[in-house]
Amino acid sequence: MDFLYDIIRHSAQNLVQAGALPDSFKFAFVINSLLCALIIGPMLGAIGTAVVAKRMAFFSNAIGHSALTGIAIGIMLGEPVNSPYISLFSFAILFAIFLNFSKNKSGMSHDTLIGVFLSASLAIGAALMMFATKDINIHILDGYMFGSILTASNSDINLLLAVAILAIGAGIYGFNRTIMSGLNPALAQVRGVPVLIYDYIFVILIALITVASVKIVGSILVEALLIIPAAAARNITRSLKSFVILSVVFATISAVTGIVVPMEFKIPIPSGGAIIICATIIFILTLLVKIVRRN
Amino acid sequence: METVIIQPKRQKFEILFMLISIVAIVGVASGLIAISKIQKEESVKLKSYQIDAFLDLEGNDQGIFTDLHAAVRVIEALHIEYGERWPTVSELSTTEQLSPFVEDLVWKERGKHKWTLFNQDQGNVHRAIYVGKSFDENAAGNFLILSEHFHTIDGSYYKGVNKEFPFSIWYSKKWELPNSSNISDGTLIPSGWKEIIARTGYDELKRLGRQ
Amino acid sequence: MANGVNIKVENLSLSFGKNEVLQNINFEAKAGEIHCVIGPNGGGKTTFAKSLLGQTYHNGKITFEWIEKRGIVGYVPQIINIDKTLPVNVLDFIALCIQKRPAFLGVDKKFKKQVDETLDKLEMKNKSKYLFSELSGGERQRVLFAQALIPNPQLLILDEPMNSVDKSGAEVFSRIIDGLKQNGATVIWIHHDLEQVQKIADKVSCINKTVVFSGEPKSVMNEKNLLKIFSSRQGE
Repeated sequence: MDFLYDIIRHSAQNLVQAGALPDSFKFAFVINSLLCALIIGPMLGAIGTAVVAKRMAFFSNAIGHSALTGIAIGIMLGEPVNSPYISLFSFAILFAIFLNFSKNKSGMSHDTLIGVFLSASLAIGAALMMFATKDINIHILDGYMFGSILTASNSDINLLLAVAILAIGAGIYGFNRTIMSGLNPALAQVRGVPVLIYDYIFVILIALITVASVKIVGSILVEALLIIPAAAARNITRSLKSFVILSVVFATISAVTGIVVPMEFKIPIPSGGAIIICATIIFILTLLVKIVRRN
Repeated sequence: METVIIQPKRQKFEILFMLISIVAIVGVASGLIAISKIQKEESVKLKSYQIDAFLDLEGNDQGIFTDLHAAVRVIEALHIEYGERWPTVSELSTTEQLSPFVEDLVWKERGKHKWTLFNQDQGNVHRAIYVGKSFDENAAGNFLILSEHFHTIDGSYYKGVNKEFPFSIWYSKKWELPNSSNISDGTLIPSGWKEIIARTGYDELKRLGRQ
Repeated sequence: MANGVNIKVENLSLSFGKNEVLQNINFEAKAGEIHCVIGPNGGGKTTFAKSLLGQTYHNGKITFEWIEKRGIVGYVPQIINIDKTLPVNVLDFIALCIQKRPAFLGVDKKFKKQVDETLDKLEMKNKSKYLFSELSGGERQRVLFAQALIPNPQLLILDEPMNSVDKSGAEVFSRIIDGLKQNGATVIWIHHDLEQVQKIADKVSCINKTVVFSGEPKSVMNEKNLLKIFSSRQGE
């Protein structure tokens, strides 16, 4: 894969020299971050529709926050500070499974349960992170909370790509069944859907996506990119088809603009924030369209 | 005719599933961490465009590299001290008296390198290239520092771009510099430059221990 | 005779914690028969239907004796928990239910004809692009019914809500269900309109925690029996 990235970077450099692209595209990290944006946008946009349809927005939020704890554990176990992926993935998946399990078994209201998990995961994550990074640069914490797309390395892109392929593949295969088990589990079961298993697979998938995107968008904001484009698309569509397409388009536009605009205009803001701001602007526009249409 | 008994839902299935997955995930994760630690302990393998500072450099070259290895960190510090401005070559040699830039007796013996700074800052990405052209190629080869990092909003967090370290040191026996506006790994390597890798003492011990 | 199923339920019991919902239910339904289930609200009718689908932690024995081989089960749930703002239109919803191909890619070709015909029969064809949230209760019920008919079921379980099916809808439903019956299918129909039940049912069972009475409508749906069960609702 590195070879492919090199080709892309090289052709971008050639285009810069030919004057076809802005000057900043000659840097490898700019191309890297754009590659990330082009992977992350479609992935989060597509899966986001299912998250919104299943009303799991807060659920994914909690998983995003659990990433901090995973990173802290990884650092304490001696994984590389910049990519503690083994602990990160394992913890997020465990967290997702446990959260879904408690949701199914406790009979508590989802809001309450997720509220507890959400704050707990953030608190534990922040506390452990402070503890784990006492010997390391504390600004690593910022990087993970708000994302720093500029640090995306080849291996980060590889990971992101692998997760994206898995997520989109699983998303296409199981879209109907996943949505059905959210809408009416009894009906889904009659149709032969193993609802319980699909629920678990879905939360694990969200955990994978979240964790793979944390480095770019940040753990605080990752679920925003999962939800805002889908919510924006929902405002102005009248069918599942346009819902999914628009959500993917909005997410991709947000990711790309969020990276390119601050870089070109030298606005010093973190990538995660810029991406979410773009998505929010799109959301507000669609909301206006919706209001105008209603009246 | 086919007779089917409708079985009730299984009660314990979910608990069993959760326990199995916890055990499986923790098991796989600890295995992977253990493996990655073992791999990390094995000595660093050099890539085709890299050379070993202690094995592949000799005499004056090794001396200059050792000085540069220390100097890059000083340059990083000066960059901050000067308010995120790269120190010029004359500041390094005259004001800071920093080896190998200072033009002293040793400098003369080691090839009288002529240093040039290419400042390529762009936005919050700061990039400097210090090139040292050897005056006497019999005494020493040519050196190049590629220093590249970026700042976040508050200006404090900084790190190399796509590299573990925010700088790299390059060496080439013959003098062939790519277009100064386009100096990167990608252009240096085809021009015959090699990145010098300094192994840590620990790496060396491992290497010697294996031999 | 086409495929259908004989259902036999023996000593079915079910409780949620200490709350006993179903108690010693014995029940039988034959292939080619419309078996209506009536009873007061909260009497366990929906739970009973879910037990038949194997979705409860029940005790007792439920046997399905398929006339040929294991057939297709259609299920019409009472309500569908669909977000008002979710852009799911009628065709999307049916596609979600009946096919593997992602619903956002449209209705699968092999079902297209049947979907069109079914919506036509249910007088919903002109509303196929309507969002779920724009439909009336009766129209939603028609859509839920439509999905259960694709592919053709050999056992149909309808859990009909109170008051949401309109008069013309009820007639359409009866006509289609009668067609299924002619093909030998078994129909379990949780019904609220006693007048209708008397007209269409071959058998009727009244469930209020246990089976209160069961038999042919003519013989069991007498005033005495009904009063016993529905007296609480008389004032409504």
